[in-house]
Amino acid sequence: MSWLRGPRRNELIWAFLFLLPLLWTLGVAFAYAFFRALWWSFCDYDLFASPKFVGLANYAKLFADLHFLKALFHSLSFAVIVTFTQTFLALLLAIALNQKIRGLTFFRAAFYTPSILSSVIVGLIFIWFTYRRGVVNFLLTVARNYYPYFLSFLGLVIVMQSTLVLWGRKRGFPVRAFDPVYLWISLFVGGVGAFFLGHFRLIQPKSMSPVDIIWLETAEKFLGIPRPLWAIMALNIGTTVPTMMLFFLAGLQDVPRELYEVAELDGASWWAKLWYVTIPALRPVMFLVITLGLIGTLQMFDQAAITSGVAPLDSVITLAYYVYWNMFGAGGLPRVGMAAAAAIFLAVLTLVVVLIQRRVGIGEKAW
Amino acid sequence: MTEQRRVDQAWFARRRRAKAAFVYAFLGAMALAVVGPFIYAVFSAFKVNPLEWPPSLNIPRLWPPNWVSAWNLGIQAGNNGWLGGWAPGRALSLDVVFFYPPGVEGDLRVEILRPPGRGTYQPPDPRPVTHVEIENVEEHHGPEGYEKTFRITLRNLGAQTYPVLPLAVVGPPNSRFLRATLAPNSVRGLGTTAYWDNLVSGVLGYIFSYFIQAWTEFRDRLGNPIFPRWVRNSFIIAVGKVMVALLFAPLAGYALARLHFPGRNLLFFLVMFTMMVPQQVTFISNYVLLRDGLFGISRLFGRDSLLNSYWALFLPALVSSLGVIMMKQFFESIPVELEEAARIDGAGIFRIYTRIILPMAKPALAVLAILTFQGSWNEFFWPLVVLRDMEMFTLPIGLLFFRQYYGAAGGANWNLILSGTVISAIPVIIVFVLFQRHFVEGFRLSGIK
Amino acid sequence: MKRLILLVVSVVLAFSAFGQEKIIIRIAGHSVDKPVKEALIRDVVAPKLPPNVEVVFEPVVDDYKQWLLTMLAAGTPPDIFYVDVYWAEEVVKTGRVRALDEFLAKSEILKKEDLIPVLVDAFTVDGKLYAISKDFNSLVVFFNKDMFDAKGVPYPSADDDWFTFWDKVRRVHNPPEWVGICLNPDFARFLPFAFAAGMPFLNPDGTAPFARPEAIAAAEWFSAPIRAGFGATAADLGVGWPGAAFVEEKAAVVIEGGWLIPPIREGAPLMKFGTTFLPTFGGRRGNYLFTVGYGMPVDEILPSKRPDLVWKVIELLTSPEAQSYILSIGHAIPSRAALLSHPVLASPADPFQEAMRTVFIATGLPGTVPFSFAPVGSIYHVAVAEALTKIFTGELSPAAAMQEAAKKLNAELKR
Repeated sequence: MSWLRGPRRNELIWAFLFLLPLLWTLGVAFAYAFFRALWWSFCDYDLFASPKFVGLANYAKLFADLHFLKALFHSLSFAVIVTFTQTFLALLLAIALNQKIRGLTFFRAAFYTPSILSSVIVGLIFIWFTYRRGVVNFLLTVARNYYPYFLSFLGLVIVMQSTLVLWGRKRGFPVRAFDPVYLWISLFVGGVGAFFLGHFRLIQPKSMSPVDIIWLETAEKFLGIPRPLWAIMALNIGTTVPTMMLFFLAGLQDVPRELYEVAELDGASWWAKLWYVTIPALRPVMFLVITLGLIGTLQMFDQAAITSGVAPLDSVITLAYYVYWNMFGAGGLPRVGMAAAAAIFLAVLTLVVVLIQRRVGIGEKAW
Repeated sequence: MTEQRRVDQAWFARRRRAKAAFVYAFLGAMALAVVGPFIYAVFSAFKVNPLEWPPSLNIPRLWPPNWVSAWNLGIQAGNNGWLGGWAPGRALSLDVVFFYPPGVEGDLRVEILRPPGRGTYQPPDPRPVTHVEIENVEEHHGPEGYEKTFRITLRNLGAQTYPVLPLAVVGPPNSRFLRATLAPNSVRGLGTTAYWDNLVSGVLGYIFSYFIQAWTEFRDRLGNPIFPRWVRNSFIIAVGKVMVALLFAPLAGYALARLHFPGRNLLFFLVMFTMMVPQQVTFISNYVLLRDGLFGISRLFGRDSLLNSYWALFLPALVSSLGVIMMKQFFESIPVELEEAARIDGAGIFRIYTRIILPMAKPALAVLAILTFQGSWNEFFWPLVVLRDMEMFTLPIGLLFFRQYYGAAGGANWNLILSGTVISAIPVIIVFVLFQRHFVEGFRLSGIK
Repeated sequence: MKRLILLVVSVVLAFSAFGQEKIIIRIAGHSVDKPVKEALIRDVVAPKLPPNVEVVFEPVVDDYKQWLLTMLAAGTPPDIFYVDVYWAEEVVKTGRVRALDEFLAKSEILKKEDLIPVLVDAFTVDGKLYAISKDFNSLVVFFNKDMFDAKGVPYPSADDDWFTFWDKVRRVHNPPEWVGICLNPDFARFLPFAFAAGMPFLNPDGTAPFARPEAIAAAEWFSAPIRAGFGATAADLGVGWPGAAFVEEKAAVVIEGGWLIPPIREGAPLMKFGTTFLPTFGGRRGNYLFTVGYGMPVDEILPSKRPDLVWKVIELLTSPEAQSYILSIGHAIPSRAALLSHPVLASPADPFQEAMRTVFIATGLPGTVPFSFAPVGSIYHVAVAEALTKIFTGELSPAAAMQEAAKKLNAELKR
């Protein structure tokens, strides 16, 4: 064992010492835990009597359990819908807002607020907002009651903008349909006009009964997915898109100017620039974001646990929560075998989804 | 044609500025949409009933004239405008205005109520012995009736200081309460009865009454309030985890970055792999591990199970994979020449690590510390699994319990829940505001694998 | 020699201190009871126990019944636990709850005659008593006197029948300021009226009784305020439950139990309100008895291993002194018959004590049944609840909804 002598041996010893905490963690809290869970997934175990080997019975029971199937459906639809919606929304916004922005620190601070707060805090405020007589329904009620104002505003803006654009074009300027300067003027005129129409009672807010949508305390479904889950999806998307947009924005601003200039010399339209320059440049970043997004959303637990006191369990249950529920929630003794089987299933599912995403996903070219 | 082209430069510039204005406006709107709910939640923590419909921004506790009144009442009651308290012998005056429709006669009735107890428990009844004087100070005749202003003077005839003075003022039937020096908590009895939770709370006690309530009201069997315990638990664990992380993560990161040993790449790959496996897989075994006292070791120290203890939150995982990866990446960015030079000078690995590497790692360590603090403070899943005893809860779990206890349909006290939420958000917000740069750095690094 | 004696004496003393090992008796109950229970233990129970015995209240945050079943199955229950009449039979059937008759027979402080009979029956399964009722509640009518005075309507009284009652509610209805009654599609409020109308728990042949004419008539009567517009549900009024609507003066009448008393005391302590019994139908009145008792696990799994000591704690918790304490803080109505002569109940001094007295007497009236659905189980009231919801939203007529409920329950019963 000559290679163990001297400085080499010294380095090995130090490496071992340095790595001790990590080895403990990986060994006990991860590897040992992983294999024990795997073993228990093939057993019937209730934490008190010793585990009894039952082969694949637990996995079979999983697919016969309505709660599991619901959780599976919820997790998959949640993962797909949330990940893709938030990525593409963030991308679109980043492209639309792509320019040098000053005071980015301030915006970043604002956008990061939900990320730094505990999921419990965000969840509690969410529950409070979505109460039947809560802020969300209140805003919807106000919006609905004031629709005459909104319609007249829109009308005025369209009229004003078309007038200005046509006038500008007649004078020979290369005015585009959504010309920003004219648009500001139109918006101002629209706003003032709508205000005065209301002031002189030409239009009035309607007073209709309050919007009474039950967001969480219901089991109703929309397109097959329970409404509480849609609400949680909206919450996730709403809190993730701003920061993701900033991330894409940074990526966009790293795209070398020369690429755009070459495209413009070739006479490319904004759509062509987008498709042939911007998106390919962002491919690797997007791939990363989508992969991480899928992993995170497949394993969603916190929001399900926090809202499970308010929304029906079967409407918000996800795979991760199903595991927890089998251990601590279902009443009676913990069903460790089922929980472990579901957990292993979740891990495998995550892996499969990531592999599929690598194969099929937006990013193959970059790899 | 030449004229138009000259205009074109400035013309395009205006377009660009207008477009930029739209971008900033949109970003501003987004910022408002994201931060707005939290700000509204903070304001609503001061409301009597955050579930009111329609929700309004008319919040008495945030209305400065009420602050002045609370201050004055506090001074009158005991020379303490900040915290109030009704000292023996002191008298305080409150002006109330009632509306009397024609034909309605009668005096006010003033009643000092029992100190409010929460829910089913009523504390014993030490109501102060009081001398009450009601004076009709002014009257305004209006077309529909009289507006009568009364001055109510209350004098403490007892021998002790009372921290709380809950009051009810009742007008005759068909009269209506209009206003008073200090806004009442609620007006009932079809408008005849105005209730005050506490007249002698002082300014701070008045403004922050629900925060104080959330902090002090829920007590354990020895009478100690539980919410501060939750805060303490969260702090101890967060600080502890930061120290543990600062100690262990750089060690592992450095070993992976610069030391040579067989299986180095495999180890690194394993670390990355752990980040993909959900907590749900490993928590079952770790839970049982703790229940059995970590292979029985804890029995040596007299404990059968490590569940429900601080240990449960530190063990069994000692280092976070993210921290290790972050430190590794940072160390790899340090030029190798520095270390090689030190080695030539005869320094050993440990010396190099402590004298050269660590001091250079300060920025990365700062990020690690902040991320660990925030992660620990907000941690939800693992504490939910291992903590059963109410006194051992960390803040997130405690808040969840608050919602069950105070948010149930029966006795909705969402102002307490929101107050608890605000209190638990403060430390993280402070850290964030001070160290924003590092946070963002950390988020960016966590995305890069 | 002296030193030796000193040594021996001190060692003996030390050992005797050891011999007096600490015994901890654990009571597990709902977390909302924490402050009351701990005050009760501190002020009434602990002083009467030997110094080495400590009584600890451990609140349960989750679903209490599930937690208890888990603990009993695992063999790690607390010494004393709550038993809610709603699920008493289910828990007793695990075979791990101790029958208390022998203790009761031997007890000097607590005798069967001391307890209110209907409460004893509530916890008797197969002839044996399994829990001592700690307090109880039933439904009464709460009404706001100011609102009735303002509209010149006579107060609801014990003489009211279903029709005079709704007539009064209709007359006191005063939109938009307040509604006549705040009523939720709650099976626990509806079923007593159905029983009063003559609907049996199950048909003699064991099928669902909901399609019977009495049941449909009760459903029509019960939903009249919502369908005719002189009442509203809690959600319509923007509150979480009818009690909140009452406290916030959005409704003139609600049908609730004694649990409404503390919220009124907290939110509107000077409210002028009254209470009376539920209205009658054909001279018959129905009511539900809600009660929770203290139970013990069987000796084999009793953690403290001292059944006699645990029984003593139960005795102390239900002693006249403890129940008097509870009564005086207005928490709930205690279970000892003798307390009817307690000043609070005998000569009530304020609306709150009057309300407690009404609840107390209402429980003893004929027609009161324990709030339990054994042996059918929760499917019984789930079917009723669904029917009521549909009636209240107008989706189905009372007749159609009740028939649907009967069909649903029959389908479940066949399984």
